[in-house]
Amino acid sequence: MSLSLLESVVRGSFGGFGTLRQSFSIVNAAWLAVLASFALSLVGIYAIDIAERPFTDRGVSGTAIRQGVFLFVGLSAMCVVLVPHYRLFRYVAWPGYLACIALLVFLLIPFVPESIVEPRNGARGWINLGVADFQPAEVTKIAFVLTVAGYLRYRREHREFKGLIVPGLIAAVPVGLITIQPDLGSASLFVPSLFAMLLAAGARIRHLVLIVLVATLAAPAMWPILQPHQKRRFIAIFEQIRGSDEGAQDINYQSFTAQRLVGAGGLVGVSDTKARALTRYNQLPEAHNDMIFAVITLRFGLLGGAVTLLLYMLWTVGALATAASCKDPLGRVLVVGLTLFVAVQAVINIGMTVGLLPIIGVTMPFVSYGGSSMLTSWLMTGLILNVGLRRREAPMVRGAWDELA
Amino acid sequence: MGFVFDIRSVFLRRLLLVLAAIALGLATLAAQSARLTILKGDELLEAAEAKLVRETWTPTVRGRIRDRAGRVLAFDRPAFDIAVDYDVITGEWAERKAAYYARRTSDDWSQLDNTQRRQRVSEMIPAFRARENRTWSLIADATGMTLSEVDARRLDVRDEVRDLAATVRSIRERRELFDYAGTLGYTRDELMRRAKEINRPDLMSDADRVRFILAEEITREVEDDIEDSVNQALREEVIPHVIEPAVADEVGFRLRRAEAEADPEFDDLPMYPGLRVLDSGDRAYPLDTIEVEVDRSLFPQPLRRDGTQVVEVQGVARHILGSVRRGIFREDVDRRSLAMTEDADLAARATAVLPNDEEQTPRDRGRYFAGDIVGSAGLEKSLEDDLRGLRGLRVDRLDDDTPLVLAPDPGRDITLTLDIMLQARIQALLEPETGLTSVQPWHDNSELVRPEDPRSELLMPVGTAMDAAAVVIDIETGDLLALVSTPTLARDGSDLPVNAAQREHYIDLHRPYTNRAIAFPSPPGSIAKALVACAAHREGLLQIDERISCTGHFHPNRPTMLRCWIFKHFNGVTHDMDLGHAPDAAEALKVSCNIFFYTLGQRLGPEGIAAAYRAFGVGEDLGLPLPSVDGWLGPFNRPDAISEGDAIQMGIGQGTVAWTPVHAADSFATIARGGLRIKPRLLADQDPVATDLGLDPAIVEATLRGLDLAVNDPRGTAHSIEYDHTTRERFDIFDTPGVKIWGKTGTATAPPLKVDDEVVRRGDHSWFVLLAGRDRPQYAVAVVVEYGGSGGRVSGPIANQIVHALVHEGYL
Repeated sequence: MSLSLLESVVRGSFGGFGTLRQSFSIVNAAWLAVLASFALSLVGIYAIDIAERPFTDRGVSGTAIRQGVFLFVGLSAMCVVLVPHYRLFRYVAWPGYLACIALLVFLLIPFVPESIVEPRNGARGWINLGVADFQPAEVTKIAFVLTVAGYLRYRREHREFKGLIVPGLIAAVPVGLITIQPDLGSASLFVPSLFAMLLAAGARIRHLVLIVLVATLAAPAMWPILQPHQKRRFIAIFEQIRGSDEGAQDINYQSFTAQRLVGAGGLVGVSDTKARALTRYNQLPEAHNDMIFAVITLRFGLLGGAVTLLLYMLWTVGALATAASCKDPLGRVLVVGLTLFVAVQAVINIGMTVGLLPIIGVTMPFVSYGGSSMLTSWLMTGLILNVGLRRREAPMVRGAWDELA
Repeated sequence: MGFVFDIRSVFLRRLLLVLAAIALGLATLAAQSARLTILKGDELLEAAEAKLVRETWTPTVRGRIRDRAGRVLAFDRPAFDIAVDYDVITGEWAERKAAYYARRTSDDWSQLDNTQRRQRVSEMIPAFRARENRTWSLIADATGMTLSEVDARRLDVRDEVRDLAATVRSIRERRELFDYAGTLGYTRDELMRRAKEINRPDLMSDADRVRFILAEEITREVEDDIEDSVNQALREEVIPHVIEPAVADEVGFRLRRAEAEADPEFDDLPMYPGLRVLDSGDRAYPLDTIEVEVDRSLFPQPLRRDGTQVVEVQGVARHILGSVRRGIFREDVDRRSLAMTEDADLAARATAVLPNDEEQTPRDRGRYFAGDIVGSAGLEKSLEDDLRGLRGLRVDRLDDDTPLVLAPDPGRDITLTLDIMLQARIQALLEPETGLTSVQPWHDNSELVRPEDPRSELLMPVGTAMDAAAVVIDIETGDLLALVSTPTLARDGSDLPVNAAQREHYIDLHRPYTNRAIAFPSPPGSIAKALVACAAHREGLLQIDERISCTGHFHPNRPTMLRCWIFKHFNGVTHDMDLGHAPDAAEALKVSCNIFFYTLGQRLGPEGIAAAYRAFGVGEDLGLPLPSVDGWLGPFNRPDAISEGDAIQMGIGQGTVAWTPVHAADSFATIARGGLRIKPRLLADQDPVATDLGLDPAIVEATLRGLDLAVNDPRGTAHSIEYDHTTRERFDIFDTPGVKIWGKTGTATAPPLKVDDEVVRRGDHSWFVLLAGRDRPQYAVAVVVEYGGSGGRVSGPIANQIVHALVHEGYL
């Protein structure tokens, strides 16, 4: 690849003004998100080690070491997606989106051998790649955001009610496919992201509110199509919020155990040894994974939990500030879409750990154990940094809708 | 909000809206985290820490029972059963561990596909199978069985549990299906009827047919629910099973050490997986069988032999000690919890609060676990809460190496007032094989046969074994030295007939479970005359030297009723004629004159006679820790229903009064103490309870003189026996040199004994009560032989042998 081609890729266009250096804005808010991501990843590795290694063992648990490797892979992936101008990703958005849909369909084909698609906890969500398991739903998130952002960037149709139909459909296909895996957790993340992107792209708030209202009213109609285990979880969370501890031994076992460990941390947490013993013998399911926030608060208490929440806040502020400073509608919508995926996922994960939401199996971004989750989270951060790094340029064709208003 | 509207860009405002929404979400989470950590933190930390605690109850032992000399009569004998966990028996252990360690030791596990994973697991199975086999080899080695014998036992257990599980699961499945059908509105009967109508040979079970009827109504979800409850593990599928019971102690100790060893490779695995050494200690009664050498040269003349006879006595004091059983019933648990609420001492002693218990619930360290030993009869039952030990508790904290240990407390030892050797010796004397309690020609019980009555056959021909009881009380202390009732039962039940009908008849006829010494009331007969005399004098109804004429029959004009025995026996002779004058109290006792005591009964009247007996303990709780009978007073045990006629009868110990040998010995001991009653006691640590009856020493002296004359005056009823009516030679009943005897015979008319509406025993109970001592009365002895006939001829010689026994055991 010749240098000029590389330069074009980095600039996102042929030609361009000034030096390559001048087209970058090195100092930008996206670094806050990178900083927060890195801090969260380190906290995660330590918490995973607590969850996985009994205090009697020496060394570091293999799981924590693997998470360290995933962090390295994530950082590397971020570096890679920084190189091309984000604008170029628009060209792969639709092919990527379609490829993801194909993968999601592939997961659901019943006669695919278990050596390739092995159901985990009853969900057909992973493809075995030999070196690692791969979760198509994760990359679908990125493809989805790119596709919607690319679609919305210079349009005005979505300011009409029927203009919302196409973005809705773009979301509905992966949401539907992921829901029937079933992975309600991942599926539920697409909607807030879509709404935020529509909001950022100028859709009318009253339309969005109307949709939310209709959906809320229609929600009870969805009840019959839920799986029995999903119904039980919804009932359980209502019972739990009402103060009943009836499910503590069965359906709400995980939730009660997680809350117990969150609370056991108190203000400043317990010692390393004690945290390991308590995690192990309270037998918190998925302690190193979905329930990792419980381990963090157990070890570092409310202060540790609050710092973790503040790191997410820092990440969000950094990401949204990047969007704010971006003049390009594609960049703006892209960043907002990605931001919502990470932020909402964090809120849902912690919400289910502290007993406010039903347990639907979403990971805690950067913190939970898992390669796909780590990789996706860092790719998202990388894309946001990518947007942040590009110097503000005047709108090339037309201003975004708000400048016209 | 002004701040937001200052921003002219709508986009920025919307970004702030999104940011605010996320911040609100995170703030909610922070608030909930604060609620959990700050408000509920302490509570939740405690709950979490509770999971770090492992409790183990440590075994304890039951208290011992000893006799007055400290001989151990009952103790817990340690024993061990060798058992193996069920998953090792089936081999599932190796498979499960292989699966677990395959994952734990493979760093690349997540990259393997299922086939490769299965491959990894199956490669590891042999290593764990070998560990299972270590257990089996060790058991074979330690017990001396061959490996194939051990394996055969393993397979037996496995098959047995599998069969059981299959049965239980099919029952569960049926029940679940019926229950579910019930929620759909089907009745059980309707389902069964429809199930019967289905003619489909392929539908084997009820469950299959019910499934067929319900068809689509059984959704996948319902089927899953049914499957879940059907497949719940049986207790038998999780507990260890005994492979070799009751191994020798050294085997038990060796395997117990092995049980604690850890695997050299995986320190969280045991060296011998599944190996369990279970405590299966049993209750031992070392002096249950005693061989007694009986000196036949001291026996009554017709039974006298040179030298000794060895009598093996089984079930010594079994009526008193009782027995235990292994296995707990609902009522044991209920009884214990009742005792814990009623007995504050017991509750304080037995209760522990576990250190990790948030509720601080007091827990009974002595509460029953399935398979515990529990007293089921006798003192083992009545003193259960004393004898039962309290378990120890070991609490391990999993984040800490120092366990909290509460040592077990053994059960309390009980010391009895019994002398087990005296008890055994007396029991030997009462065994029919010595001849004293089998019908002898000189017992003269053939007198019962009246040729004119065809129904009056001889129910107990010569040689028939008779049932008897004997009691010895130490007069000074009220201690019960011996409390014998025959027949008794061997602990293994070997002396019961095997045939069910014969066994039932034997039990009805002989009542071997009844402790006759304290729990079978019978009419006292003439022995009661001693206490009637004392009571009448106390009430001022008899003067010391008052004489009452023996007229042969009580009512002057009715010579066939209320006769004196001499009048009946010697055809019209009266004691006045025999003695040459009317008898006074002492003489009346010597010759056992009925007319004298009918008169006293009449003078005392219904209330007075009832009070007389009650003063000597009849109708009052004996206070023994055993099932006993207080005695009977009045028709249907109602003292207020005693009539004038009853009172006259009760003057000679007949009519509506009944008592036990303990009452008899106790009342004579009371007289010997000059009217001081000390309640008989069986437990050495029980404080004596004494009451003074307020008897005049003069009447006590007169009564004792009467008892002395009865034995020692040639005309006394307890003086001598004629064994052979042809030679008419008389032999003294008592022949212990240097021992003085005060005694009284009793020949008490008893109600016939019926088994299945057929009279099997008829006639008189033979009583003898005596006081014996070197210079003063030291021991009170009571003997009763049921339906034995004459008190003097049947029980007298037995009482004499008991005096010999007291000498032999060093009491006299």
